[in-house]
Amino acid sequence: MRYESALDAVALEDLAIRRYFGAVDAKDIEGVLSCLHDEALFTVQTDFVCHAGKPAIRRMLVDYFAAFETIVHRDFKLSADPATGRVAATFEGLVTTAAGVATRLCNTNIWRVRGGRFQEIHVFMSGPNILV
Amino acid sequence: MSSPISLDGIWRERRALVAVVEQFLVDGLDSGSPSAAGGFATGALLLDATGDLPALSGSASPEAWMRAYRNACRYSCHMEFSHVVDAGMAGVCSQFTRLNLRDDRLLRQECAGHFRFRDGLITGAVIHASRPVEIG
Repeated sequence: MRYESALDAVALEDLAIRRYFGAVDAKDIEGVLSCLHDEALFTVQTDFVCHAGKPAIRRMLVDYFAAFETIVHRDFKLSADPATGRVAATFEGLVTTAAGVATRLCNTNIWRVRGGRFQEIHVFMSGPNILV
Repeated sequence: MSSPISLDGIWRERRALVAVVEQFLVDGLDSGSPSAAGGFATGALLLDATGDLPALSGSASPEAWMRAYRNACRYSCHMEFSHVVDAGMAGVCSQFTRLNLRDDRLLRQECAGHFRFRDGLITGAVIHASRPVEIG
């Protein structure tokens, strides 16, 4: 599906990295949800899981943020495509439980933008799905 | 004969990058055409982040990687492509479906490949594939 978006490459990068992942790493649920449309689809493609709509995504985020003491995303390799309103990033994710158990992932996200917010988020994980 | 479609420079660049990716996946991995390896720069690094396929290090040849891939499956089909093309940064992130025949089971995987380019050649790629689902 292709949507109408007027965001340029800088705005796409800002939305995906600074606003979205900035909020994820700060465990700021409202900040994450502010990047999404109400009926957004969040799919973990490597595990065939789909969270449809903000209430389902909020529930997933609550569980995700509770499961880990710290969440860090870094080393982004970004591709922004203003012509199609899509942006993709490959990055390292490092999540650590309160007991100190760390999991390192190499993931790729692909976001599809409608207007100025995400309509679809597709996540490809290198390990077991932690966004359940 | 002139092309019926007029493409400006940006769209020609997009098309060129996408063609290299699809040539690697379709001509190289599916059909086994050695020429698909020509899309890689010397020393290119290809990483399968899900550990499904052998890694292509800077010292291995793309041809060797494609042979290893084709030895792992009797049938391969990459299809349903959707691309994120960053012509300015020379990157293409492609979503696609992969069909494989392994151990007499037809398997489907949902995949992503994030490719980096320099001078029109792939310098690095990270591939993700879902857990395989048996179909048919």
